[in-house]
Amino acid sequence: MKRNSDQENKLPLKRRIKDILASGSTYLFSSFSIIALVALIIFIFSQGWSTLSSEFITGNYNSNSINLVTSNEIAPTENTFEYKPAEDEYFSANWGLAFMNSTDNEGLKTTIISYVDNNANINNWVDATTGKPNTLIKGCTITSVILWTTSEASTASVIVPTMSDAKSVCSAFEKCSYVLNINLATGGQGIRGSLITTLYMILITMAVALPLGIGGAIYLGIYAKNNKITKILRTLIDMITGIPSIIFGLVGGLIFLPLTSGSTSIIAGSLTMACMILPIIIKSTEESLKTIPHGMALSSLALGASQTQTTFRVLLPNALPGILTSALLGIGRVIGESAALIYTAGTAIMDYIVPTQGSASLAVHIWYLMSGEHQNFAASCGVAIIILAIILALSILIKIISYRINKTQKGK
Amino acid sequence: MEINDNIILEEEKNIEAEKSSIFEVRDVNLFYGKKQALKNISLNIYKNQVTALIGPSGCGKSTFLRCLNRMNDLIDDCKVTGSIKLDGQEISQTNTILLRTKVGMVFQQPNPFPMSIYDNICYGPRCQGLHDKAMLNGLVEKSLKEAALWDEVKDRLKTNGLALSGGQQQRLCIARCLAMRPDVILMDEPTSALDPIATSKIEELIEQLKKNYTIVIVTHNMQQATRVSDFTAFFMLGEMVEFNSTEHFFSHPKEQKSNDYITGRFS
Repeated sequence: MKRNSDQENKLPLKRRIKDILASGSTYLFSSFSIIALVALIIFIFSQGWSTLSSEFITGNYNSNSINLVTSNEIAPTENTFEYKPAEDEYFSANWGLAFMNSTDNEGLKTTIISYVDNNANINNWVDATTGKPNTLIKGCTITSVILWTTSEASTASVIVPTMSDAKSVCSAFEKCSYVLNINLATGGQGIRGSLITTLYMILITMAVALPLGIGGAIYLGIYAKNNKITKILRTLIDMITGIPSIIFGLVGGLIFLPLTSGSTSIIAGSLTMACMILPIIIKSTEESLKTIPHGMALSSLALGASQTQTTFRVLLPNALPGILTSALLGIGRVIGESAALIYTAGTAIMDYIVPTQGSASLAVHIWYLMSGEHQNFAASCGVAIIILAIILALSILIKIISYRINKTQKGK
Repeated sequence: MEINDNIILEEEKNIEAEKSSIFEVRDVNLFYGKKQALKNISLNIYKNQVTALIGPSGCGKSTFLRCLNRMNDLIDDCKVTGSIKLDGQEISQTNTILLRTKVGMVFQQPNPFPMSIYDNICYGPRCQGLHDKAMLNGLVEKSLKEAALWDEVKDRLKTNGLALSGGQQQRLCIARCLAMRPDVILMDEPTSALDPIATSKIEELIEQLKKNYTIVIVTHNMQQATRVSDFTAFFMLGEMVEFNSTEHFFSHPKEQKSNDYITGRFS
């Protein structure tokens, strides 16, 4: 008898094993997805964090270049200048200049002029464009220098510091007799232009897609009769969601480019994006219209309100949190899209943004950084962090707004 | 028995003479697609009287109620034949919006809009284009007083209608309906979602409203019908079995089916 009751208390072994396997696999798979997400964020932050700086976010992409030419060929006097260089500085006593290894905004290796003596010859060299001496040399990146050396075999040599480092630049200066020309640069590699382009695109896309999408949702959810045509329409909208974005880019390029300025422009890109996110907005607005209690619409109609008044005074205000969520999804899509924008808004990274001209958005900026000869993971991840931050900020904003709306509507 | 019946018939004639009818319903048939939900309904609804519609679930009493303000129009493939006249005017010829301003409706679930008490009451008038502040204020106060809610909410008209209790919400819905100054108020089981105390308040309210309005109420609760109504129509399987003054209906039902239903011997 005792054995019998023991057996009854336990489930059969086979069933227990099945249960453990089934529940175990769900834990395993869910942990994988969480690990993948966390790993992605850790990777992006570890790679991109060093690139982030206020200069990177607010700076121009195109650097400000200075081209200095020697007014008259001045031979360097020997060791006239005195300076105590820091540990990583290289000082040329002949020229009164110190050089230092540095990195630009994108994290690429450069050589900068870290110190200029007050009496250094370089202060007298004139700017090729203005014809006047340029005093803002300290801190500039050296792009290239043409040096003339008489002591050995009278040779002109072009030094490009990105190919070498501060030490070799310094020794080349020490050896040379004349400096013919020096190209300097300040700033550059910033993402401000792409950031503004992205914001423009969000604004224009939403201004076009939200009214159209909400209108479509109202038609489908409230006015449309439940017949075959409506069903086909719904299926089509579902299918549009599945069309690859590159095809939207192609069609957008064919249709919107001739309609707008003819060449790539932010407006054309935004219109393409609006087409892409329309189904998202229609779907989720329709869903949120569906969740409103039917009695609400009925009691409005029973009070002698017309269907239009009911829609705009009762249904839409109640669907607002859902509409905002759909807008957030749409904005996320706009921020993250690159393929559809390459043919419509172009890949050129601009600093001064005009909506009728093409300009790269943040996602296209990443594409651009990674498509060149030197793939720049650090800078790309820096941009990625900015994108993630924008999406996070928007999510929080919309959560707050939805919460406020719910609070005022539910009276709690 | 015969004498008794004759007396009742006499009284019915008296009623016809005394009360003027506001709704005249003749041979109304209603179809949902091919299914017939109402069969040859004919009755009069009298002015400033409470008419109760009773019957088992699915008998068509709510469907009939919705015919009176043409809410059935909202349902696809619902077809109504026959004649329903409001003050001698065929309602199928009237504009639905105008009709519904004259014939208000209160639903089973209290469903105030998610806006302030004030805005809830102003909703109907505003939809009709009334925006005069002073008039709206007056209308809000009058409607709330009529709905016996004024004393409870006069200090918090700006609070959300959904913050009220269930019974208060239902009275707010009645007030919202009264703000339209309707001739008839249709009530579709207005107390079935409320507790007994809130129910008795609504019943008292119906008693008060009778003076100025005609009320048609659908109810599952026969005691409620006896308490609040002057006339009772008993529906079964889409047919109106009997229509009589409440007093006579419950004391001397003419039909066997009515008798069975009242006494609970219902197969």
